[in-house]
Amino acid sequence: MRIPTLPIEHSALLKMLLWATLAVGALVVALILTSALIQAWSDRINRRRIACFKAWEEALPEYLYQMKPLEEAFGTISARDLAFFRAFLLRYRSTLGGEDRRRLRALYHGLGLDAGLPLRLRHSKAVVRAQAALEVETYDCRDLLGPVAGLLEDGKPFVAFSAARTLARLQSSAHMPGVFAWALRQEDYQQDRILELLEDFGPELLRWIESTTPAENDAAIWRFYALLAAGLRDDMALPTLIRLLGRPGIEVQAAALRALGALGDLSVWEHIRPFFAAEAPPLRLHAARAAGNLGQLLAMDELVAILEDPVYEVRREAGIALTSLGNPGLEVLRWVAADLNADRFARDMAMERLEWGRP
Amino acid sequence: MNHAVGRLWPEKTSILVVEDSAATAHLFSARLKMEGIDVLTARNGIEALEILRQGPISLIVTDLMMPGMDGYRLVREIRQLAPPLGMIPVIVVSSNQRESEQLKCFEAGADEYMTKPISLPLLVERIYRLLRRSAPTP
Repeated sequence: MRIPTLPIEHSALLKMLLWATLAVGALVVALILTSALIQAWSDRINRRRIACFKAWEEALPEYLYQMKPLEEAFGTISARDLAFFRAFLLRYRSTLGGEDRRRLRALYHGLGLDAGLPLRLRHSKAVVRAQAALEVETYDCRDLLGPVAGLLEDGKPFVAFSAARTLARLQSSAHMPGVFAWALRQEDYQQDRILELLEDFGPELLRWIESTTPAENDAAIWRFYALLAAGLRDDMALPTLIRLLGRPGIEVQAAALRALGALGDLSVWEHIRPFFAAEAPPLRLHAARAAGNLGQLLAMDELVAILEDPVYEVRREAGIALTSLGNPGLEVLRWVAADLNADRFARDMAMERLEWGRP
Repeated sequence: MNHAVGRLWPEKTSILVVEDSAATAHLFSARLKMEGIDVLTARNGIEALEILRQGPISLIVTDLMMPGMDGYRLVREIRQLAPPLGMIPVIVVSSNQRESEQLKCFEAGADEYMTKPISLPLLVERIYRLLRRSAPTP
Protein backbone atom coordinates (compact mmCIF):
# COMPACT_ATOMS: atom_id res chain seq x y z
CA MET A 1 0.00 0.00 0.00
CA ARG A 2 1.32 3.43 -0.85
CA ILE A 3 1.24 6.18 1.81
CA PRO A 4 0.15 9.46 0.33
CA THR A 5 2.62 12.34 0.89
CA LEU A 6 1.63 15.92 1.46
CA PRO A 7 2.95 18.63 -0.75
CA ILE A 8 5.85 20.65 0.74
CA GLU A 9 3.77 23.81 1.50
CA HIS A 10 1.17 21.70 3.38
CA SER A 11 3.80 20.08 5.60
CA ALA A 12 5.20 23.53 6.62
CA LEU A 13 1.70 24.72 7.52
CA LEU A 14 1.19 21.61 9.63
CA LYS A 15 4.43 22.29 11.53
CA MET A 16 3.38 25.87 12.18
CA LEU A 17 0.01 24.72 13.47
CA LEU A 18 1.73 22.17 15.71
CA TRP A 19 4.05 24.77 17.23
CA ALA A 20 1.24 27.25 17.68
CA THR A 21 -0.83 24.61 19.49
CA LEU A 22 2.13 23.81 21.73
CA ALA A 23 2.70 27.49 22.50
CA VAL A 24 -0.98 28.07 23.38
CA GLY A 25 -0.97 24.93 25.52
CA ALA A 26 2.15 26.08 27.37
CA LEU A 27 0.60 29.50 27.95
CA VAL A 28 -2.59 27.97 29.34
CA VAL A 29 -0.61 25.68 31.65
CA ALA A 30 1.50 28.65 32.83
CA LEU A 31 -1.63 30.68 33.51
CA ILE A 32 -3.24 27.82 35.44
CA LEU A 33 -0.07 27.33 37.49
CA THR A 34 0.26 31.05 38.21
CA SER A 35 -3.36 31.41 39.33
CA ALA A 36 -3.04 28.25 41.46
CA LEU A 37 0.06 29.73 43.08
CA ILE A 38 -1.70 33.06 43.71
CA GLN A 39 -4.72 31.22 45.15
CA ALA A 40 -2.51 29.08 47.37
CA TRP A 41 -0.67 32.19 48.56
CA SER A 42 -3.85 34.09 49.36
CA ASP A 43 -5.33 30.99 51.05
CA ARG A 44 -2.22 30.80 53.18
CA ILE A 45 -2.54 34.47 54.13
CA ASN A 46 -6.24 34.02 54.93
CA ARG A 47 -5.58 30.95 57.06
CA ARG A 48 -2.90 32.86 58.91
CA ARG A 49 -5.25 35.82 59.38
CA ILE A 50 -8.09 33.60 60.68
CA ALA A 51 -5.72 31.80 63.07
CA CYS A 52 -4.40 35.13 64.38
CA PHE A 53 -7.91 36.59 64.79
CA LYS A 54 -9.07 33.51 66.71
CA ALA A 55 -6.12 33.67 69.08
CA TRP A 56 -6.48 37.43 69.58
CA GLU A 57 -10.25 37.16 70.16
CA GLU A 58 -9.47 34.96 73.16
CA ALA A 59 -6.73 37.32 74.33
CA LEU A 60 -8.65 40.59 74.02
CA PRO A 61 -10.98 40.09 77.04
CA GLU A 62 -7.94 39.12 79.12
CA TYR A 63 -6.18 42.32 78.08
CA LEU A 64 -9.26 44.51 78.56
CA TYR A 65 -10.84 43.04 81.67
CA GLN A 66 -8.19 41.04 83.48
CA MET A 67 -5.77 43.91 82.89
CA LYS A 68 -3.07 41.61 81.62
CA PRO A 69 -0.14 43.46 80.00
CA LEU A 70 0.01 43.44 76.20
CA GLU A 71 2.81 40.86 75.96
CA GLU A 72 1.18 38.51 78.42
CA ALA A 73 -2.25 38.65 76.81
CA PHE A 74 -1.29 38.58 73.13
CA GLY A 75 2.22 37.16 73.22
CA THR A 76 4.73 38.55 70.75
CA ILE A 77 3.10 39.88 67.61
CA SER A 78 5.49 39.54 64.69
CA ALA A 79 6.06 42.45 62.32
CA ARG A 80 4.35 40.61 59.44
CA ASP A 81 1.18 40.18 61.56
CA LEU A 82 0.92 43.85 62.54
CA ALA A 83 -1.31 44.69 59.56
CA PHE A 84 -3.64 41.86 60.63
CA PHE A 85 -3.65 43.19 64.16
CA ARG A 86 -4.63 46.65 62.94
CA ALA A 87 -7.56 45.12 61.04
CA PHE A 88 -8.46 43.05 64.11
CA LEU A 89 -8.59 46.11 66.37
CA LEU A 90 -10.71 48.03 63.86
CA ARG A 91 -13.50 45.48 64.24
CA TYR A 92 -14.12 46.89 67.71
CA ARG A 93 -13.85 50.52 66.60
CA SER A 94 -17.55 51.32 66.79
CA THR A 95 -18.41 48.85 69.55
CA LEU A 96 -16.21 49.66 72.50
CA GLY A 97 -16.38 52.89 74.47
CA GLY A 98 -15.26 54.30 77.78
CA GLU A 99 -12.31 52.68 79.51
CA ASP A 100 -12.36 49.79 77.01
CA ARG A 101 -11.74 52.23 74.20
CA ARG A 102 -8.86 53.85 76.06
CA ARG A 103 -7.28 50.42 76.53
CA LEU A 104 -7.69 49.74 72.80
CA ARG A 105 -5.96 53.04 72.03
CA ALA A 106 -3.09 52.13 74.34
CA LEU A 107 -2.80 48.82 72.51
CA TYR A 108 -2.70 50.54 69.12
CA HIS A 109 -0.07 53.07 70.16
CA GLY A 110 1.86 50.52 72.22
CA LEU A 111 2.43 48.42 69.12
CA GLY A 112 3.42 51.47 67.08
CA LEU A 113 0.55 50.95 64.63
CA ASP A 114 0.25 54.73 64.27
CA ALA A 115 3.70 54.97 62.68
CA GLY A 116 2.40 54.18 59.19
CA LEU A 117 -0.55 56.60 59.34
CA PRO A 118 1.08 59.62 57.60
CA LEU A 119 1.95 57.43 54.62
CA ARG A 120 -1.44 55.73 54.57
CA LEU A 121 -3.18 59.11 54.57
CA ARG A 122 -1.40 59.78 51.24
CA HIS A 123 -1.83 56.27 49.83
CA SER A 124 -2.80 55.85 46.18
CA LYS A 125 -5.75 53.62 47.14
CA ALA A 126 -8.78 55.61 48.31
CA VAL A 127 -9.91 52.85 50.72
CA VAL A 128 -6.57 53.02 52.54
CA ARG A 129 -6.78 56.83 52.83
CA ALA A 130 -10.34 56.65 54.20
CA GLN A 131 -9.41 53.91 56.66
CA ALA A 132 -6.38 55.88 57.86
CA ALA A 133 -8.56 58.98 58.38
CA LEU A 134 -10.96 56.94 60.54
CA GLU A 135 -8.06 55.50 62.54
CA VAL A 136 -6.91 59.03 63.39
CA GLU A 137 -10.26 59.54 65.14
CA THR A 138 -10.54 56.09 66.69
CA TYR A 139 -7.08 56.21 68.22
CA ASP A 140 -7.03 59.94 68.88
CA CYS A 141 -3.94 60.81 66.80
CA ARG A 142 -4.43 64.58 66.99
CA ASP A 143 -1.01 65.39 65.59
CA LEU A 144 -2.29 64.17 62.20
CA LEU A 145 -5.32 66.45 61.94
CA GLY A 146 -3.56 68.63 59.34
CA PRO A 147 -3.10 65.81 56.79
CA VAL A 148 -6.65 64.62 57.54
CA ALA A 149 -7.99 68.12 56.75
CA GLY A 150 -6.20 67.89 53.40
CA LEU A 151 -8.44 64.92 52.55
CA LEU A 152 -11.53 67.18 52.61
CA GLU A 153 -10.53 68.04 49.03
CA ASP A 154 -10.14 64.37 48.06
CA GLY A 155 -11.70 63.38 44.75
CA LYS A 156 -13.41 60.36 46.32
CA PRO A 157 -16.48 61.49 48.32
CA PHE A 158 -16.20 58.70 50.91
CA VAL A 159 -12.60 59.70 51.70
CA ALA A 160 -13.62 63.33 52.21
CA PHE A 161 -16.56 62.17 54.36
CA SER A 162 -14.26 60.06 56.56
CA ALA A 163 -11.92 63.04 56.98
CA ALA A 164 -14.81 65.37 57.88
CA ARG A 165 -16.17 62.86 60.39
CA THR A 166 -12.79 62.52 62.06
CA LEU A 167 -12.32 66.30 62.35
CA ALA A 168 -15.84 66.72 63.73
CA ARG A 169 -15.62 63.88 66.23
CA LEU A 170 -12.30 65.14 67.53
CA GLN A 171 -13.96 68.61 67.72
CA SER A 172 -11.06 70.28 65.98
CA SER A 173 -11.91 74.02 66.22
CA ALA A 174 -9.09 74.90 63.85
CA HIS A 175 -10.64 72.81 61.07
CA MET A 176 -14.27 73.70 61.77
CA PRO A 177 -14.44 76.30 58.93
CA GLY A 178 -12.99 73.76 56.48
CA VAL A 179 -15.47 71.06 57.44
CA PHE A 180 -18.40 73.50 57.30
CA ALA A 181 -17.33 74.70 53.83
CA TRP A 182 -17.14 71.04 52.76
CA ALA A 183 -20.64 70.41 54.20
CA LEU A 184 -22.08 73.30 52.19
CA ARG A 185 -20.70 71.79 48.99
CA GLN A 186 -22.56 68.48 49.49
CA GLU A 187 -25.74 67.52 47.67
CA ASP A 188 -29.11 68.11 49.37
CA TYR A 189 -29.93 64.40 49.60
CA GLN A 190 -26.92 63.98 51.92
CA GLN A 191 -28.29 66.56 54.35
CA ASP A 192 -29.26 64.24 57.21
CA ARG A 193 -25.93 62.46 57.46
CA ILE A 194 -24.04 65.75 57.05
CA LEU A 195 -26.07 67.33 59.87
CA GLU A 196 -25.41 64.32 62.08
CA LEU A 197 -21.70 64.71 61.36
CA LEU A 198 -21.67 68.47 62.07
CA GLU A 199 -23.52 67.96 65.37
CA ASP A 200 -20.34 66.32 66.68
CA PHE A 201 -18.75 69.79 66.81
CA GLY A 202 -21.36 70.75 69.40
CA PRO A 203 -22.72 74.29 70.02
CA GLU A 204 -19.29 75.77 69.32
CA LEU A 205 -20.07 75.48 65.61
CA LEU A 206 -23.20 77.60 66.06
CA ARG A 207 -21.25 80.29 67.92
CA TRP A 208 -18.69 80.28 65.11
CA ILE A 209 -21.39 80.71 62.42
CA GLU A 210 -23.00 83.55 64.43
CA SER A 211 -19.71 85.39 64.76
CA THR A 212 -18.45 84.95 61.21
CA THR A 213 -21.51 84.99 58.94
CA PRO A 214 -23.20 88.31 58.06
CA ALA A 215 -26.98 88.19 58.42
CA GLU A 216 -27.54 88.86 54.73
CA ASN A 217 -25.21 86.06 53.70
CA ASP A 218 -25.95 82.80 51.90
CA ALA A 219 -29.32 81.27 52.86
CA ALA A 220 -27.80 77.78 52.86
CA ILE A 221 -25.56 78.71 55.82
CA TRP A 222 -28.46 79.96 57.91
CA ARG A 223 -30.61 76.99 56.99
CA PHE A 224 -27.85 74.69 58.23
CA TYR A 225 -27.54 76.85 61.33
CA ALA A 226 -31.22 76.46 62.18
CA LEU A 227 -31.25 72.71 61.54
CA LEU A 228 -28.13 72.28 63.68
CA ALA A 229 -29.64 74.37 66.48
CA ALA A 230 -32.67 72.04 66.38
CA GLY A 231 -30.49 68.92 66.48
CA LEU A 232 -28.30 70.24 69.28
CA ARG A 233 -31.24 71.72 71.25
CA ASP A 234 -29.10 74.81 71.74
CA ASP A 235 -30.96 77.43 73.83
CA MET A 236 -28.33 80.09 73.11
CA ALA A 237 -29.40 80.04 69.46
CA LEU A 238 -32.89 81.41 70.33
CA PRO A 239 -32.24 85.12 69.54
CA THR A 240 -30.64 84.27 66.18
CA LEU A 241 -33.46 81.88 65.28
CA ILE A 242 -36.06 84.56 66.04
CA ARG A 243 -34.09 86.97 63.82
CA LEU A 244 -34.05 84.34 61.05
CA LEU A 245 -37.87 84.24 61.09
CA GLY A 246 -37.78 87.80 59.77
CA ARG A 247 -35.23 86.97 57.06
CA PRO A 248 -36.73 86.55 53.58
CA GLY A 249 -36.55 83.01 52.21
CA ILE A 250 -38.96 80.16 52.85
CA GLU A 251 -36.30 77.50 53.48
CA VAL A 252 -34.53 79.50 56.20
CA GLN A 253 -37.80 80.48 57.88
CA ALA A 254 -39.07 76.88 57.79
CA ALA A 255 -35.81 75.61 59.33
CA ALA A 256 -35.99 78.32 62.01
CA LEU A 257 -39.58 77.32 62.86
CA ARG A 258 -38.51 73.70 63.12
CA ALA A 259 -35.67 74.67 65.47
CA LEU A 260 -37.88 76.85 67.66
CA GLY A 261 -40.33 73.97 68.01
CA ALA A 262 -37.49 71.61 68.94
CA LEU A 263 -36.12 73.96 71.60
CA GLY A 264 -39.43 73.80 73.46
CA ASP A 265 -39.34 77.35 74.84
CA LEU A 266 -42.94 78.62 75.09
CA SER A 267 -41.79 82.24 75.14
CA VAL A 268 -41.26 82.09 71.36
CA TRP A 269 -44.92 81.35 70.64
CA GLU A 270 -45.79 84.93 69.63
CA HIS A 271 -43.04 84.77 66.98
CA ILE A 272 -44.43 81.50 65.58
CA ARG A 273 -48.13 82.43 65.55
CA PRO A 274 -48.06 84.74 62.45
CA PHE A 275 -46.79 81.85 60.30
CA PHE A 276 -50.14 80.07 60.53
CA ALA A 277 -51.33 82.69 58.04
CA ALA A 278 -48.22 82.49 55.83
CA GLU A 279 -48.74 82.20 52.11
CA ALA A 280 -46.22 79.38 51.66
CA PRO A 281 -47.59 75.96 52.75
CA PRO A 282 -44.23 74.77 54.23
CA LEU A 283 -44.34 77.67 56.69
CA ARG A 284 -47.88 76.85 57.82
CA LEU A 285 -46.83 73.22 58.15
CA HIS A 286 -43.77 74.02 60.28
CA ALA A 287 -45.76 76.46 62.42
CA ALA A 288 -48.23 73.64 63.17
CA ARG A 289 -45.41 71.23 63.91
CA ALA A 290 -43.74 73.74 66.23
CA ALA A 291 -47.03 74.29 68.10
CA GLY A 292 -47.36 70.52 68.56
CA ASN A 293 -43.78 70.18 69.78
CA LEU A 294 -44.19 73.07 72.18
CA GLY A 295 -47.42 71.55 73.51
CA GLN A 296 -48.90 75.02 73.12
CA LEU A 297 -52.56 74.88 74.16
CA LEU A 298 -52.94 78.52 73.11
CA ALA A 299 -52.46 77.31 69.52
CA MET A 300 -55.75 75.42 69.53
CA ASP A 301 -57.65 78.03 67.45
CA GLU A 302 -54.89 78.28 64.84
CA LEU A 303 -54.59 74.50 64.58
CA VAL A 304 -58.34 74.03 64.16
CA ALA A 305 -58.33 76.73 61.48
CA ILE A 306 -55.66 75.03 59.38
CA LEU A 307 -57.45 71.69 59.63
CA GLU A 308 -59.32 73.25 56.70
CA ASP A 309 -56.11 74.08 54.82
CA PRO A 310 -56.25 73.30 51.06
CA VAL A 311 -52.90 71.46 51.30
CA TYR A 312 -53.19 67.91 52.69
CA GLU A 313 -49.73 67.90 54.34
CA VAL A 314 -50.58 71.04 56.31
CA ARG A 315 -53.92 69.59 57.48
CA ARG A 316 -52.16 66.38 58.47
CA GLU A 317 -49.54 68.28 60.49
CA ALA A 318 -52.32 70.23 62.25
CA GLY A 319 -54.05 66.93 63.11
CA ILE A 320 -50.81 65.46 64.47
CA ALA A 321 -50.14 68.64 66.47
CA LEU A 322 -53.61 68.47 68.02
CA THR A 323 -53.06 64.86 69.12
CA SER A 324 -49.68 65.96 70.60
CA LEU A 325 -51.57 68.40 72.84
CA GLY A 326 -53.10 65.45 74.70
CA ASN A 327 -56.69 65.28 75.87
CA PRO A 328 -57.66 68.89 75.03
CA GLY A 329 -56.45 68.38 71.44
CA LEU A 330 -58.18 65.00 71.13
CA GLU A 331 -61.42 66.55 72.45
CA VAL A 332 -61.26 69.16 69.68
CA LEU A 333 -60.65 66.45 67.06
CA ARG A 334 -63.64 64.45 68.33
CA TRP A 335 -65.79 67.56 68.24
CA VAL A 336 -64.76 68.39 64.65
CA ALA A 337 -65.23 64.76 63.54
CA ALA A 338 -68.76 64.69 64.97
CA ASP A 339 -69.80 68.08 63.57
CA LEU A 340 -71.68 67.42 60.33
CA ASN A 341 -71.50 71.13 59.46
CA ALA A 342 -67.72 71.27 59.79
CA ASP A 343 -65.53 71.73 56.74
CA ARG A 344 -65.24 68.43 54.81
CA PHE A 345 -61.40 68.57 54.77
CA ALA A 346 -61.23 69.30 58.50
CA ARG A 347 -63.72 66.54 59.34
CA ASP A 348 -61.86 63.95 57.24
CA MET A 349 -58.56 64.87 58.85
CA ALA A 350 -60.00 64.76 62.37
CA MET A 351 -61.42 61.27 61.69
CA GLU A 352 -58.12 60.14 60.15
CA ARG A 353 -56.11 61.26 63.19
CA LEU A 354 -58.56 59.72 65.65
CA GLU A 355 -58.42 56.44 63.74
CA TRP A 356 -54.64 56.46 63.94
CA GLY A 357 -54.92 56.99 67.67
CA ARG A 358 -51.49 58.58 67.83
CA PRO A 359 -49.32 60.52 65.41
CA MET B 1 -9.34 42.98 88.56
CA ASN B 2 -12.24 40.79 89.37
CA HIS B 3 -15.33 42.47 88.03
CA ALA B 4 -17.57 39.95 89.72
CA VAL B 5 -16.65 41.30 93.15
CA GLY B 6 -19.63 42.80 94.97
CA ARG B 7 -22.24 41.35 92.60
CA LEU B 8 -24.36 38.46 93.68
CA TRP B 9 -25.99 37.18 90.51
CA PRO B 10 -29.35 35.43 90.74
CA GLU B 11 -29.01 31.63 90.57
CA LYS B 12 -28.80 30.08 87.08
CA THR B 13 -28.49 33.43 85.34
CA SER B 14 -28.41 32.89 81.61
CA ILE B 15 -27.95 35.75 79.13
CA LEU B 16 -28.74 35.55 75.42
CA VAL B 17 -26.58 37.82 73.25
CA VAL B 18 -28.13 38.48 69.82
CA GLU B 19 -25.53 40.01 67.53
CA ASP B 20 -24.66 39.43 63.88
CA SER B 21 -20.99 40.39 64.32
CA ALA B 22 -19.19 37.29 65.60
CA ALA B 23 -16.35 39.41 67.01
CA THR B 24 -18.70 41.58 69.06
CA ALA B 25 -20.76 38.59 70.22
CA HIS B 26 -17.58 36.83 71.34
CA LEU B 27 -16.35 39.86 73.27
CA PHE B 28 -19.73 40.36 74.97
CA SER B 29 -19.99 36.71 75.96
CA ALA B 30 -16.35 36.56 77.13
CA ARG B 31 -16.96 39.56 79.37
CA LEU B 32 -20.22 38.17 80.74
CA LYS B 33 -18.73 34.72 81.35
CA MET B 34 -16.14 36.40 83.56
CA GLU B 35 -19.06 37.07 85.90
CA GLY B 36 -19.65 33.34 86.17
CA ILE B 37 -22.95 33.40 84.28
CA ASP B 38 -24.11 31.33 81.31
CA VAL B 39 -24.08 33.06 77.94
CA LEU B 40 -25.72 31.94 74.71
CA THR B 41 -25.35 33.69 71.37
CA ALA B 42 -27.61 34.04 68.34
CA ARG B 43 -26.86 35.70 65.02
CA ASN B 44 -30.32 37.18 64.46
CA GLY B 45 -33.86 37.35 65.80
CA ILE B 46 -34.95 34.04 64.29
CA GLU B 47 -32.16 32.12 66.04
CA ALA B 48 -32.83 34.04 69.23
CA LEU B 49 -36.52 33.04 69.30
CA GLU B 50 -35.57 29.38 68.77
CA ILE B 51 -33.09 29.48 71.67
CA LEU B 52 -35.62 31.30 73.80
CA ARG B 53 -38.19 28.53 73.33
CA GLN B 54 -35.65 25.82 74.17
CA GLY B 55 -34.55 26.86 77.63
CA PRO B 56 -34.78 29.44 80.39
CA ILE B 57 -33.16 32.78 79.57
CA SER B 58 -32.87 35.48 82.23
CA LEU B 59 -32.19 38.46 79.97
CA ILE B 60 -31.56 39.31 76.32
CA VAL B 61 -28.98 41.74 74.95
CA THR B 62 -29.72 42.45 71.31
CA ASP B 63 -28.32 44.47 68.45
CA LEU B 64 -30.77 46.34 66.21
CA MET B 65 -29.58 45.92 62.65
CA MET B 66 -29.32 42.22 61.84
CA PRO B 67 -30.13 40.15 58.76
CA GLY B 68 -33.16 37.86 58.88
CA MET B 69 -35.00 39.39 61.80
CA ASP B 70 -33.89 42.72 63.23
CA GLY B 71 -33.91 43.86 66.86
CA TYR B 72 -37.20 45.79 66.67
CA ARG B 73 -39.10 42.77 65.41
CA LEU B 74 -37.39 40.49 67.88
CA VAL B 75 -38.48 42.68 70.81
CA ARG B 76 -42.04 42.87 69.46
CA GLU B 77 -42.17 39.07 68.96
CA ILE B 78 -40.88 38.45 72.50
CA ARG B 79 -43.48 40.75 74.01
CA GLN B 80 -46.22 38.83 72.23
CA LEU B 81 -45.15 35.55 73.87
CA ALA B 82 -47.02 34.31 76.91
CA PRO B 83 -45.41 34.97 80.33
CA PRO B 84 -42.82 34.29 81.60
CA LEU B 85 -41.13 34.33 78.15
CA GLY B 86 -42.86 37.54 77.16
CA MET B 87 -41.64 39.28 80.30
CA ILE B 88 -37.90 38.68 79.79
CA PRO B 89 -35.92 41.92 80.20
CA VAL B 90 -34.40 43.11 76.92
CA ILE B 91 -31.49 45.51 76.51
CA VAL B 92 -31.02 46.95 73.02
CA VAL B 93 -27.46 47.88 72.07
CA SER B 94 -27.13 49.90 68.88
CA SER B 95 -24.94 52.52 67.25
CA ASN B 96 -28.04 54.47 66.30
CA GLN B 97 -28.13 57.47 68.62
CA ARG B 98 -31.30 59.06 67.23
CA GLU B 99 -33.97 59.84 69.77
CA SER B 100 -36.70 58.55 67.42
CA GLU B 101 -34.99 55.13 67.08
CA GLN B 102 -34.63 54.83 70.84
CA LEU B 103 -38.29 55.69 71.35
CA LYS B 104 -39.23 53.14 68.68
CA CYS B 105 -37.37 50.45 70.64
CA PHE B 106 -39.02 51.37 73.92
CA GLU B 107 -42.40 51.37 72.22
CA ALA B 108 -41.65 47.88 70.89
CA GLY B 109 -41.07 46.75 74.49
CA ALA B 110 -37.34 47.13 75.21
CA ASP B 111 -36.34 47.78 78.83
CA GLU B 112 -33.03 49.53 78.18
CA TYR B 113 -31.28 51.16 75.24
CA MET B 114 -27.52 51.58 75.13
CA THR B 115 -25.72 53.31 72.29
CA LYS B 116 -22.48 52.00 70.83
CA PRO B 117 -19.66 52.53 71.45
CA ILE B 118 -20.41 51.10 74.87
CA SER B 119 -18.38 50.28 77.92
CA LEU B 120 -18.85 46.58 78.66
CA PRO B 121 -18.41 46.99 82.44
CA LEU B 122 -21.31 49.44 82.22
CA LEU B 123 -23.38 46.93 80.23
CA VAL B 124 -22.69 44.28 82.89
CA GLU B 125 -23.78 46.73 85.58
CA ARG B 126 -27.04 47.50 83.71
CA ILE B 127 -27.75 43.79 83.23
CA TYR B 128 -27.16 43.16 86.91
CA ARG B 129 -29.47 46.00 88.03
CA LEU B 130 -32.18 44.96 85.59
CA LEU B 131 -32.06 41.33 86.73
CA ARG B 132 -32.15 42.36 90.36
CA ARG B 133 -35.22 44.48 89.75
CA SER B 134 -37.00 41.79 87.76
CA ALA B 135 -36.12 38.93 90.14
CA PRO B 136 -39.12 37.63 92.10
CA THR B 137 -39.14 38.90 95.68
CA PRO B 138 -38.65 36.12 98.25
